[in-house]
Amino acid sequence: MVDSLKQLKGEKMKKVIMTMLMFLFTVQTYAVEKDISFYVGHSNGGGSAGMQTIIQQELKNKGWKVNFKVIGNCGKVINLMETSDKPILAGWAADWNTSVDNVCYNPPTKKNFMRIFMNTPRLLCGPYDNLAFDLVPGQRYRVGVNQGQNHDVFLNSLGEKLNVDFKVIEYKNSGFIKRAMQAKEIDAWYTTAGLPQHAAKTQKCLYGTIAKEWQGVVPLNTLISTVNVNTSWIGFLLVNDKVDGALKRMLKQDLEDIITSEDYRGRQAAGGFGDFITKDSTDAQISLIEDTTEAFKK
Amino acid sequence: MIEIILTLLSATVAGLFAGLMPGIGSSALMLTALPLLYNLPPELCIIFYALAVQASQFSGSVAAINFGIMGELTSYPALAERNYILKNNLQQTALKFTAIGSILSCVIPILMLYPLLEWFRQHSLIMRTDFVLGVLIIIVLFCLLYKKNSKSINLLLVSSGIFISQIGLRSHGSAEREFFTFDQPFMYGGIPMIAVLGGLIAVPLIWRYIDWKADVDTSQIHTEKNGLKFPLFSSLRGGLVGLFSGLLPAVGTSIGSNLAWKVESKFYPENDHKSVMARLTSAESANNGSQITVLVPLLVLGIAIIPSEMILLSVIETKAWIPGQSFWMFLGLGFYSWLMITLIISSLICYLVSYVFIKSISKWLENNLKLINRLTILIMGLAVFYAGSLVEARIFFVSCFVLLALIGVYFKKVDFIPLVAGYFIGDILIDTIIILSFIYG
Repeated sequence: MVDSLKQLKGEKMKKVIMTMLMFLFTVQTYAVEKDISFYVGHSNGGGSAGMQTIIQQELKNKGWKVNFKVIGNCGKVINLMETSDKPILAGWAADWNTSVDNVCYNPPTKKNFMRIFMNTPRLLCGPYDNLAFDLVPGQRYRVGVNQGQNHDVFLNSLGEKLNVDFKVIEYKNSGFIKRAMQAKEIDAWYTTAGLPQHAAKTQKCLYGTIAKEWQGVVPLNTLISTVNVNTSWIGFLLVNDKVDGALKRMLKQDLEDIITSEDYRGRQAAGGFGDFITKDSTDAQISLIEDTTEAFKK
Repeated sequence: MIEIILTLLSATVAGLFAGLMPGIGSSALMLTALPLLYNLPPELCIIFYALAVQASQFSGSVAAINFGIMGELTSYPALAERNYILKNNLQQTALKFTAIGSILSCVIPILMLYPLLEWFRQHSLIMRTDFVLGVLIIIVLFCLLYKKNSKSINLLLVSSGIFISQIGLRSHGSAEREFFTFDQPFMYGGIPMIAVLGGLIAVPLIWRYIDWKADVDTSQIHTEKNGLKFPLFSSLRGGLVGLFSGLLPAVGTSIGSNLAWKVESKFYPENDHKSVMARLTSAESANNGSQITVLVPLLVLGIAIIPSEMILLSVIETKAWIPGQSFWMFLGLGFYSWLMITLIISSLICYLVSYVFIKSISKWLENNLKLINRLTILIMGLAVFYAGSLVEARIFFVSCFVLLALIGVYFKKVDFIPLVAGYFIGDILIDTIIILSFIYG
């Protein structure tokens, strides 16, 4: 009897302590002003800036006061993150971290990392409206790629494996590559832009930087085992050191809710970037980013 | 719907205003409209541009005839015929004929725009990188032969423009390339376009007319000379000349009206009422025609060939706009349908305003011109500040603007158009050369 009374008191005590802790946490949470500057280093108009625009709107819907600016220059954003005394959230790309000498070098750590917000595979696709496209051994193919990302290293290995000759032509961005495809200047492209056309069956993609087979696209890691197969486009969110404590916890939770929501994923898929957002742990996400960064190195 | 109506009205009013104002060309108009353009979807930005520039051409001839000033090169024929017009009290007739000619010359290019775009799109050769290089080389050549400066000055200006365009932290895939940033983060974004165009082109042009005084009595405007027939064939000839000259890089719109004026001089060389009206109407018709076809290279290839269009391109490029691809739909009609509908409505509004209300507008402008010119420079300064605040670089933007405006005003004898053209084509020229090195290397 006495034991059960003691047990009851203990349980009550636990409840009281838990309630007080929750109360204190809530008070602390509401005491922190949900105010943040959100800077975009990518150019205005691109897919990355587009998805970050959606995220900032959702943050506002969740009660955040967001100073959102598309700076369009990662060097300026990194400078603002280092020098500003205000809390800053910023979108970053895995391929910006390939060299410590790069002005935009800012690798994710447990301290500054929030989460991945975009993960779009790179596909090797044929010309528009040619659904019979295939790589014939012994043939030469002009392949359009994004400049400065060392895709020639991987494509040469793939060419050797498939016994085809890839002549790699580097273009400034996907817009230039699309125009080159329309002009029949290239025979194929290796970019992140082929997902919607392949899904709509207006263009045939053969291989991709995907973990498992997707709509007939073969995962490249089943053909080649080098790190260069991981050149998906991965975008992630980082914060500066002014974002910490309760503010950081709230921000991380809200970003998690926004980015894993059906609505966000649907909008990303509708924008032509697929639905490859991972719900993995922070460690696993950082590891994926590091692997991807490695893939862009020679 | 409200977005389209507002774009239609704001662009038409702004264009009419800019055309009437001495010194405010279409580049200055686009610069002051930047805060609005940043908030519009790319298709509406293009519609705004087409309507505003078209409207400014309608009213531009009014400024040239009434005030005797040349806001832009396109007004030269009106200025050349001005003495005869004033001497013979033909202002009202001239304004009526140029307004009718302008509206007529809009119709043919508007109807031709869609087939022209389709033709360009069907010919894959035009999309090729080597073709683009060809267009860029022609632009450079036109800049070198630009008449207002000597060839050596033009060469220096074009080279400087290309050099300035490369300043900053340039993305090259994974690696960022620094060029003349002196390790200063505020330089990473490069020299802002709005400062280059506003400082070197718009401010010096406005400055030239800051203390301008009217030399004609606007009470004469409503005394119309009867008995003169509208020169229909001259207008059609001018419209056709403008249609094709608009496709010429850098100078298309400028030489359109001058070329049509020269051509019409062959048909009507005399110095009488009929000949003067025929030449003037032809020149103004060409003016409007060229303003529409100048859009073709932009819409198909993404290449801007005149300064005001370059400002438009710099805005729409930031909005995921891809040349030749528009999925924008409204009320079941696509972008090109809306472009044509709004151009026709805007032309009608311009005709009404240019012809019916011209006396009161002229009077008002005459009284307030100095103030408006000063206000325009101020608005431009605010637009620069706004553009800077969008990227957290207000001081840098304003400093560049002030510095370049001082240079522009100090070197008033130099026309900086070749520098601006070099600045705008710099990036695409270098990218094109790099791509071709991969293709043919």
